[in-house]
Amino acid sequence: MLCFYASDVHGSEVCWRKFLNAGKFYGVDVLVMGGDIVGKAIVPIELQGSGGRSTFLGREVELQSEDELHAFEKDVRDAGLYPYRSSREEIEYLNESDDGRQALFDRVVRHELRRWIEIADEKHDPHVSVFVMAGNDDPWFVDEELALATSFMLCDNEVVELDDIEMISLSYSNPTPWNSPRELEEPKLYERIAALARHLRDPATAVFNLHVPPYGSGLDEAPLLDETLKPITRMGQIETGPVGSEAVRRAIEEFQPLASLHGHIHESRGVSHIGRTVAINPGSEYSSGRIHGALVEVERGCVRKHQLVTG
Amino acid sequence: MAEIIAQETVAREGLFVRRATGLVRDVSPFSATLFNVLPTVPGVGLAISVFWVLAVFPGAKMISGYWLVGLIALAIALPFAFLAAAIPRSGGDYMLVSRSLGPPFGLASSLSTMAAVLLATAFVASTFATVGLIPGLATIGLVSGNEGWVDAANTLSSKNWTLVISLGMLAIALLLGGLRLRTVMRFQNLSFAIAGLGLLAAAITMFTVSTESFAAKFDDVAGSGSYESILRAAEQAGVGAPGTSWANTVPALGALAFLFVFSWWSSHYAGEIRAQHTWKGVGTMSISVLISVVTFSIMTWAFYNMAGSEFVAAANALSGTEDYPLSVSPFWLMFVAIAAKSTAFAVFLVITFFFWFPMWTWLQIAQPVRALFAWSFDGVLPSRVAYVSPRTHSPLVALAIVGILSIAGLVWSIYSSDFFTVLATLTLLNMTPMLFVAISAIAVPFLRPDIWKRTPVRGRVLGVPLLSLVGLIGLAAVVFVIYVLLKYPDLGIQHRARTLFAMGGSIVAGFALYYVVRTIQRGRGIDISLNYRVIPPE
Repeated sequence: MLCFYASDVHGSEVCWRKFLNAGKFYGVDVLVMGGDIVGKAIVPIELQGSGGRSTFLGREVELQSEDELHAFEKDVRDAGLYPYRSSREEIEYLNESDDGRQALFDRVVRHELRRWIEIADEKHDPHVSVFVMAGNDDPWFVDEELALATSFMLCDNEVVELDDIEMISLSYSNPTPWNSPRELEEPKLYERIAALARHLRDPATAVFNLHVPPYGSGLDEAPLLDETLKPITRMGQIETGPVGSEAVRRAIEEFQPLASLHGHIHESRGVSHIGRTVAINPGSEYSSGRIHGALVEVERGCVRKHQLVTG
Repeated sequence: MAEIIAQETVAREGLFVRRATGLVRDVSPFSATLFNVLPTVPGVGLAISVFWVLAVFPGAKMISGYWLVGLIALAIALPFAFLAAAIPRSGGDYMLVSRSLGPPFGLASSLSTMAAVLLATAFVASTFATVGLIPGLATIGLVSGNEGWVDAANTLSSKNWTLVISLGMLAIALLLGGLRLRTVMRFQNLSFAIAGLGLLAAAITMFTVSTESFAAKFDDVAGSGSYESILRAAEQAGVGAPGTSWANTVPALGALAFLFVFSWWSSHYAGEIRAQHTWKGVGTMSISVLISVVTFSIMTWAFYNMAGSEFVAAANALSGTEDYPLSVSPFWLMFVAIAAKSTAFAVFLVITFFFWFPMWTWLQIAQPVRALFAWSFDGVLPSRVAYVSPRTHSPLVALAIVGILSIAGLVWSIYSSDFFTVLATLTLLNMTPMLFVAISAIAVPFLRPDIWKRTPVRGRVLGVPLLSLVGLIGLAAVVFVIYVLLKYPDLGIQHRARTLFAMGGSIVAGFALYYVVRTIQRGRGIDISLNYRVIPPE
């Protein structure tokens, strides 16, 4: 079984498309999306006549026609942001109203997720099984929307079969400074993983798809932040440290699956070994339109090969 | 940014941003600037520029030279900064060049960087002996009148002792490389604070001691009338005062390039919506160059003001001859210690000066370790190279590789070469990745318009992409540095063909390594070209 795993596309539509095309591109049997699929920001476009204006990547943009609007929206989506056509009055209102912005996010994200499902349906390849999971950053309604898809399977908190190999998946992370939607304290996180693992026929021949990487694995090095969310620097250098989950580490050490697949920390691309388990975090560079992934081949109860790729 | 914790969403810079993992505040411009300034290592850089460079190129206009090389450094750094803005968390020239020109070019660039940095590691470790410990001990001996210190310095200046001392510094740096980053950074903080204190004390001395006072104190140490006699002897020998020769300033730029051309390190600071701050990053980098140039200019001016620029040139030129009365070669720290005429102050200056070296050496080691990891993750090197000890969290294999290769570089630099040859060689090797990055900037608008679109220089001038023009200027700057290093044998490159062969060899080796590894890995069912091939989105 050859699997392509990617994670943390954060709303980048070009990365989503590349993920779906990875099946044919790499000749794999299974695609797994490991979470954090929702974008982080909305780019309002103030409509003016047949065009509009907006601010994107720090610069003012003037759009003169529907074609230019369309091209701009594509650029915005590819960068992992959501375009939103609006009026000046509405934009001014949204600038001031937290409730208004929150309602807008819910509406826009649902709309964009349905676009993604349509794209997945268009690209559906019956020879490739696709599994998708949300991540700690994704609002809970994401699951509700993704469950409507027929071309991929939602796998969070489930035991699924990849060919004849079992996989458990969990979208939760340990606590982060951002108080994201899906966080659990370490003891509870461990209980969740263990409960899933106990449903496996044989954990030693399974794959763990856990959004947050194990603590101190080298796959979880991230800039350390102060209370204002500014990276801590010493003499100009950013201080980094492990921010992964001790619960995940404990579960891997205990159950020793064949492989564990992780995302969450974009900067920590790498491969690590925890006992016999091959732990992988392909990292993420979604805003540049490149998808980071990992090819993992499992055969006869062992990981035959693994490779980090960027497409 | 803390407000994003309190609220679910905020309106910021024309966007509506939701609370999401990874959204962090920018590192302060001060931090980013400091990160770029530190590699110039002001205390040590001053020694190299005012003494070593002036000794070989008397009359060179040092202060003008700093400003000129600052412009060169900026020209070289700009393509790097603009491309890095479009390819965030890029991993340096390896990723930039791989994405722009292709993986064999990326590996060739990275291999050259690796060679240069490993040689720099050896060079920097050895400067602890040649620029730090030996002149430091001699300085204490001279000021205190205790010849024992001077004798010790002379003993330690043998090649064998230099090797032992350098190995000790290398061992310290490797040990730091094996510690947790947080611990290393605390040590780094402390080191730079102590070294900076010494530099500040030296600066205050240089600003407050007049030339006349210095001359009197020099005579107290060297013998009555020594100051004037050195000046007279230099005049008779035709030694030009600093700032009198453009002809000698041009080659000086080649030596100074080593100190200034690494002002782009801050361009890797991450941020989830980082492209918005690209011009801030470029501005920070430019300010870093300016700060480095101004610091060196002020320190050099202060030094000339204290000791007299003609005297500095004279002492450099006559050192080792019968017209130079001291048994210790001229050294800026020594002159400052003489000016203060205090043994305690001399000890303070020397000890604080030592603190530049451990962190400077460690900074060299950090890069090749990261490069080895990147190559390992891309399948170019065995996965074992990226092994991290679960107990100590140290990259043991990578450190061992770097250590062994650095020792080889150290042995070569001490026994088979000299100060300037090593400096020139590693500067030339460093020019290779700068060359590739400049070429990448020229080519990207044509080969990779998707990358070009994400840079802050998307416009055109007379139909030519602005990014390509920036790349051309960078290329011209790199070619100029290479030209200077090769044209003037006094800069250390005695065998041009051999050196060009080494430069070309590292490029060819990079290509060869890529294709050999690709063939080997294909036999194992792994296609490393997949690391770089773009999945079509449609």
